[in-house]
Amino acid sequence: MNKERSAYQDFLLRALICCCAPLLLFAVLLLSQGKSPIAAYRTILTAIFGSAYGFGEVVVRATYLILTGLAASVPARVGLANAGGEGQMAMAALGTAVAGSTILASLPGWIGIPLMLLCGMLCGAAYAGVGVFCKLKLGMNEILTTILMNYIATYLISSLLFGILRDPKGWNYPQTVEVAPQLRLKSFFGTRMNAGIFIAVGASLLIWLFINRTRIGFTIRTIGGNQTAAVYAGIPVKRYQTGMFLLAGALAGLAGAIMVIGVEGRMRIGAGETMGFMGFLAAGMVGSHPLLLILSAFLIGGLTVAGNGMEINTGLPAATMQILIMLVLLTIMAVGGGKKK
Amino acid sequence: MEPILRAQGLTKRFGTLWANKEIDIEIFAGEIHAIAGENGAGKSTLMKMLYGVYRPTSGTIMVDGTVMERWDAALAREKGIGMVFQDLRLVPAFTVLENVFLSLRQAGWKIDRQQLRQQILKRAAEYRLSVDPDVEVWKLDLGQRQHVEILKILLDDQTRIMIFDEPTSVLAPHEIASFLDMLSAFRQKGYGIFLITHKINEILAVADRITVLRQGEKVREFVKGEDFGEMDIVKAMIGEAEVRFDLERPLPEACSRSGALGVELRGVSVKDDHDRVILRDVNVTIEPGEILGIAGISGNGQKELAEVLYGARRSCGGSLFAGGEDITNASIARRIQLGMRVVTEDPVRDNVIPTFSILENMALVGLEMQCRRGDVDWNAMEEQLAGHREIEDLGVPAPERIAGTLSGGNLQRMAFARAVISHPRFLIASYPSRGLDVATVNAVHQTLFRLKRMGVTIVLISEDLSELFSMADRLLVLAGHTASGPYPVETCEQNEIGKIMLQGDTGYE
Repeated sequence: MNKERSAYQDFLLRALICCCAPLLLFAVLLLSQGKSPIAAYRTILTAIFGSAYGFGEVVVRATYLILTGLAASVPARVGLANAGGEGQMAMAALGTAVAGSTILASLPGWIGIPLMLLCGMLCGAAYAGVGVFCKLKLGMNEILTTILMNYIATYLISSLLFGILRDPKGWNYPQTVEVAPQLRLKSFFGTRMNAGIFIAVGASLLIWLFINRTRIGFTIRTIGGNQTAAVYAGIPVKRYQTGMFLLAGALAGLAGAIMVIGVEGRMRIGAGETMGFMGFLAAGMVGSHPLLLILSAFLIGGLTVAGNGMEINTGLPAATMQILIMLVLLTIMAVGGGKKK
Repeated sequence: MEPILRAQGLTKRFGTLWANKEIDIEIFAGEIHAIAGENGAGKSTLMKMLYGVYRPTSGTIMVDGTVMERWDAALAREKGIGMVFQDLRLVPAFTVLENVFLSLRQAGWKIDRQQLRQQILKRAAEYRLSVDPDVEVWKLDLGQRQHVEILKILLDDQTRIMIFDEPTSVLAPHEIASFLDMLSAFRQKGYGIFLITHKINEILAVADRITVLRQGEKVREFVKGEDFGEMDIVKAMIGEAEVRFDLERPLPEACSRSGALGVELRGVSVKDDHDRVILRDVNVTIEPGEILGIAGISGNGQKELAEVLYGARRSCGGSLFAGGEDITNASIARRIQLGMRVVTEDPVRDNVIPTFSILENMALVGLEMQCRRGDVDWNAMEEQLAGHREIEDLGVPAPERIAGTLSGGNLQRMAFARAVISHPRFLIASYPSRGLDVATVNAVHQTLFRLKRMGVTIVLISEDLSELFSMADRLLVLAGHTASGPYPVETCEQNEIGKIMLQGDTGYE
């Protein structure tokens, strides 16, 4: 009993440190630059909660981050790391945008929207498939291959957007043709917020249920717990790893599809940039827990949105917020690590 | 003459295990002192205490007659003790010279390559070590890497005592003779040498003094010139094991063989993790319903044999049949279907999920899977678990306990119980009683006999001859890269088996 209470207190203490330490360190940094931390924190709060548009923007980013975070979390459950959410999301966005302006363009929304999402998932899974193939058949480290494939995706997409996929009526801007209007998700309250957030939260609930409350999930947890023991129990480990990696790609792809049909309406250069990397961090913050991921996604989403306000109000570059995000992450890694003893 | 190093009443306890108990030992300049004993007898622990890696639970260490108040690895090196570990400690990407530099105590910041190269070449020539200082270590074979380790010690002018932990285990048979010559050369130079080994022929070839350990205690000391033979050493090492009579060997007619699975190995060869053939051309038919004991000093292919049988390792030659079916390339899943089960030598590593509860662990090829609405029905599983008497007999911890928080012994019992309740037809049990208390060992043995009566073929891997003689019907002995036997237990003597175990590779010399 006593022991449990102290474990609970221990958790509270850790949580408190994780909340305060980054804010204090960041304040020191701001002071060293001659800026007022109080003004800066006020800016952060107003950027997030001060307007419907700002909050909507946080929700939009959280949507991407939840899904790319899941893309990093799911393979972690079978002993793999997917650092390629960025590329998988971008490739999926491109695929969805192209499909939505060509083969799917004449479909009605009730069938067209699910097909758009499916298309994004397939593109993401296919792109992730290259990574898992390199891992399981060629023995290449999946972290390195997926990271490198992010760059391939970036440059491939920009060459296509500057080339054959450029919208001829787009004033020469590197972007695709807009998808058909009935394939778009509605935005709420005059913000860019859309139904995508429900899909993302639903996905993390489903993933949690799948891993913790199904028989297949039990097998997956077995592989994550001890791969050797899983092999000895006759589980085809590689097959499961392949499946989970493809699922991860599909989840990142879903983020790309939602970006196209919910926000952008097309693929343009730089859309969704860094959301894959940040999702990877969001997953790392919460030890790949699908439900806690929703919280960390909102946290990181909020801080990145606040970065823009920061630039306008305090004259510090938006990238300053990256420092705060990293401080939060490093604190969690330093303080949270003790739990696993 | 004063010994360089003397230890008195040295004791080391790990939890409840007495790894070493009240050991007195000493070494003089210019002698080779062999430490003999089976695996797990406590040889490495003793040496690690002398080298300062382990802190003794009690006992004193004296250097040049002075009691050391403080004792750690840094001090041990300062006092001139060097150790060549079993797992060689080198940086593969560095050259020999760089590795030697790393180990120098007063190395400073910069490598004086020219001078160090001279020193290495001088020492290498002196003892005929074949090393090129400028070659990267990953290009060297294990024997050459051992030479690098030895160089590291030789280049330290303080060194007076060298400890070798199973040095010949990494050597090819033809390298062993020259290695022993090298040891004699060190003795001539006045080094005191501890040689840990279980190979009797090496001991007899070079040792001036032999300390025999068994189960953590010093049982005999032989001094060169005394009247003793190899059989005396064998006996001291394995003890006068008695067959236990409290175990009732099941009568043949009480055993049902109909359900048992027989396995046949035809010319099977296996490679170890270092890609060397550890077992060559093994031919044996494991009869349905028998208990086949696998005897041998561990590290002679027991692990690899178990893995090949279970399909966790591919054989590099030959074929396996189970009940007439060719299973050489069959998956583990297929073998499980056929009724094959395994408890490996390290169940915590191979059979247990540390983050799972005992109940969840028991569901992995143990309990029958019961599902409800797509999920495992854990309530039904827990009821099922409670219905098995083995859980209580073997002292398996409560179902809700998390495996990672339990001791190795608890998990070993769990892994064994799990295999037992899984309706096996062929069970590979590696060291099922190792490290367990007497009562549990008895329960394990009773359980194995009950399985035999129920019609389960059992492969029992053990180092404990008395266990093998009490349990097994026939014994297969692994030594010298091959399997000898099987010998029926009724018609053979423990000492004969012990001799085959310990001298299996004399044929090479």
